[in-house]
Amino acid sequence: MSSPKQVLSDNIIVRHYKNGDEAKIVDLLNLCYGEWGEVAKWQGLFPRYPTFNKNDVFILESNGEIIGHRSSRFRHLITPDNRSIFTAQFADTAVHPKYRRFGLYTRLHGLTLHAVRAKGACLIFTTNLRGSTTYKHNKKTGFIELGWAPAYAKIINPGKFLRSGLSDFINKNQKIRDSLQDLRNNLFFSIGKTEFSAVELLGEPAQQPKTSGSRVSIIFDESPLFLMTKFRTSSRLQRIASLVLLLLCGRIRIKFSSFKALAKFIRKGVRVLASL
Amino acid sequence: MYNSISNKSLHYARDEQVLRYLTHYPGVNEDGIFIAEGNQEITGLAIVAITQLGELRQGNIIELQAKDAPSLDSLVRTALNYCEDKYLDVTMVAPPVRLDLEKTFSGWRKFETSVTMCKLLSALPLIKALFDNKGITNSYSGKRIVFYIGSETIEVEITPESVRVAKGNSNDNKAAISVTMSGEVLLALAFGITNSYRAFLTRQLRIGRLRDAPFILKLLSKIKLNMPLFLALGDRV
Repeated sequence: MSSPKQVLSDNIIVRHYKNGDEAKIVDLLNLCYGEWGEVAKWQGLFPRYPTFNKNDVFILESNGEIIGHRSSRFRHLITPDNRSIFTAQFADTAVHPKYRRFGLYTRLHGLTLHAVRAKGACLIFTTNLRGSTTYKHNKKTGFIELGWAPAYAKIINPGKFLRSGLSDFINKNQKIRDSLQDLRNNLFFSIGKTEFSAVELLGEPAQQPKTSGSRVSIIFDESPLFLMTKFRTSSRLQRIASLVLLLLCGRIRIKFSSFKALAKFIRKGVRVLASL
Repeated sequence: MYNSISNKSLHYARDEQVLRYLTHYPGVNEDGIFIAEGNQEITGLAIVAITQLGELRQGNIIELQAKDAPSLDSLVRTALNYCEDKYLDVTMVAPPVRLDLEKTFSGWRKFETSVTMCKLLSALPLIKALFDNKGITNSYSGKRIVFYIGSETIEVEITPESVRVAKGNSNDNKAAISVTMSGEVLLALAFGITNSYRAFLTRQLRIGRLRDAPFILKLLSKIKLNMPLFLALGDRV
């Protein structure tokens, strides 16, 4: 960027990070990503990184409000025979929901690509959820998808892991939130000794089912828990296929307290499946 | 320890500054940094960062590196005990790929939450890094190749001692072998996503004179970087 500030469109400017922006940036990231974290996390990830420079953070601002953010991190990639490749990585890109569909992401993307190229990076990396808008945009604009070494996880508390995974998935998918409204008081999830209701996942206070005969319990085995980590990155077809497979293998069981509950679940469950 | 480990994967550079940064990473306490020692030398390092996502308390082993499998195994066990003692809900780690992980990670689950994407910004430094190796200088010395990659023209001259890579002049390359491809194809070749023969047959890779094709295809098969890309959790932003 040749000048520190550029006017993108009516009242929207792009500028670099300055001290005092942290809380507003984190508010934006929490709005766009759900539970992103706190100011200490942002400071730890970016300003404290050894190669950090204030010009590596791009801010979109409208009337004093931060409405967009992207950080870049510069580092050397080392090959197995010790050759070094200077690279950059984009991180935590966000545009405020109210300002989407105005081409701001595309403009920000263009500016940041230009800036990292000017600093001498020969490769740029991003991390995206497969199928997301940014993933599709990157695919169209010359990015290729790479494999990376796998990560491993050990679940210590399966109940909390399931609850957190479901809550994250439901709260980031408005369609499934809406379709769960009809079942919210009657739908329960359980794993081992832990049980919680759909109402709790929706962030509302727990309630007893209106009638005891309308209760539906989805009982998880521990083995499909890792499905939760892949669920957001899978296509709808993959999600439905894995759920059906898990049901057929008995890894997930559904218990109905009455025939009425079964009938209601079939009627409303189709909507939930369609919104997956 | 880091300098003495021969990595078999692509990885981000580690120096004192980066290690100091990782030991002060958000959520890292002094009691969450573990060192493995053998014969009075450091044989491994694990750093655990405690984070909270909503209700879920995670113990992320943001850095794990070891010289040998026993050191890795004891570091992972110690880190897991630490997470259990802190009543965390889940422990995550991206272990180095060069060691045998089967025994250490039995009972753990592999997972993938997102994908890494990469775009070529400037072909010249990448070509320099890819071609500057002894396998190429020994076998292909005396060759002069001009690469047309997107809008960049890059001239590569291979000598017995080194590979000279420079921005080329498109008017002065009649004597050289010309190779045309997009930035995506160069990356796909480098990261082993496609191979030179497939790229040539699908016309993603064009070679000026057909008689040079066998040589160029063989040369391009040697620029492949060892994958996978190793990203410790502390490197993932």
